[in-house]
Amino acid sequence: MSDLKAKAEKLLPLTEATYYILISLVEPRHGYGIMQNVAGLSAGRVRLGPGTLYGAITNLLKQGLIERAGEQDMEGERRKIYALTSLGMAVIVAECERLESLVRDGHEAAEKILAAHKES
Amino acid sequence: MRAKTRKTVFRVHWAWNNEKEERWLSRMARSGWHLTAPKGIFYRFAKGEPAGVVYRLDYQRPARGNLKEYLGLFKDAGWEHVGEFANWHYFRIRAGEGPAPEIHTDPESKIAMFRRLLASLGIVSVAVWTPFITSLADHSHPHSRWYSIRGFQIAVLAFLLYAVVRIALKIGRIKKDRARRETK
Repeated sequence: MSDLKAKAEKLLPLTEATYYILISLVEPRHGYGIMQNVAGLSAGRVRLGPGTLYGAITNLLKQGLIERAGEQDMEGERRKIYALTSLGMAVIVAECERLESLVRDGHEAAEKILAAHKES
Repeated sequence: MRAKTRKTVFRVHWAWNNEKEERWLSRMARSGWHLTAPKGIFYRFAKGEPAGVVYRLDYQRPARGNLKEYLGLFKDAGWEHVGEFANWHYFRIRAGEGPAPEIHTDPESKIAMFRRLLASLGIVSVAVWTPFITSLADHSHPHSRWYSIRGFQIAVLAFLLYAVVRIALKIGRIKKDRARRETK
């Protein structure tokens, strides 16, 4: 497990697009499903263009963070399904820990600023 | 006299200036000429209704068997694939209200696209360099014919070098834009 964690930490930080693609694959989805889910997860803030998504999927497959998991027929078209690998899951956990520590450190500074502000 | 319904336009566009090419194709669509086949520096158009259309180019070489998957993502997102030339894929979508739709929604994927292009140029360069260097080492052909071949090789290499510099500068500009947005 610690081996996997070390491997995952080497892949950080993730770009915003990659981060959202990975967390939306907590359930296996096809490409269009990822686009819709990411828009929903981020309340419309993160929009994934198909060029960006294809490039990210190719990279994630190559790095072994996601894998193909069969196909799904939808409206007469076959769509490839993607799923997280154990490395992909480890990367999500590691990235969340990293982001949480960033926020924690920032909060300390923000509280000091607010406290100083109140005194003055 | 019947009005022309098809035409082919000769025009040179540089890979590091893809936005200019996209804007030109949109202007053509606004005057009723819709791209039917991009063939390098020859563009085939068909006459139709003038329309607001956004064109976008992607440099991508999907691995074998992945082309359908690649094009499927664009189709699902509402983009029509017009054609492909030398790994440049031409997509279009109806212009709507608000900002023009993008196929690359972050600077990282734009940078990755131009890096793929650089990698392809690198392969071409090696294919030209290798015979060039071996011909330099070969003194057994003092004929003038060799000099003209050498001149041609030098011209091709100079052009490739120029293209690499322009694409590298383009990547630098995208990175600078990204840095500016992050500090804003």
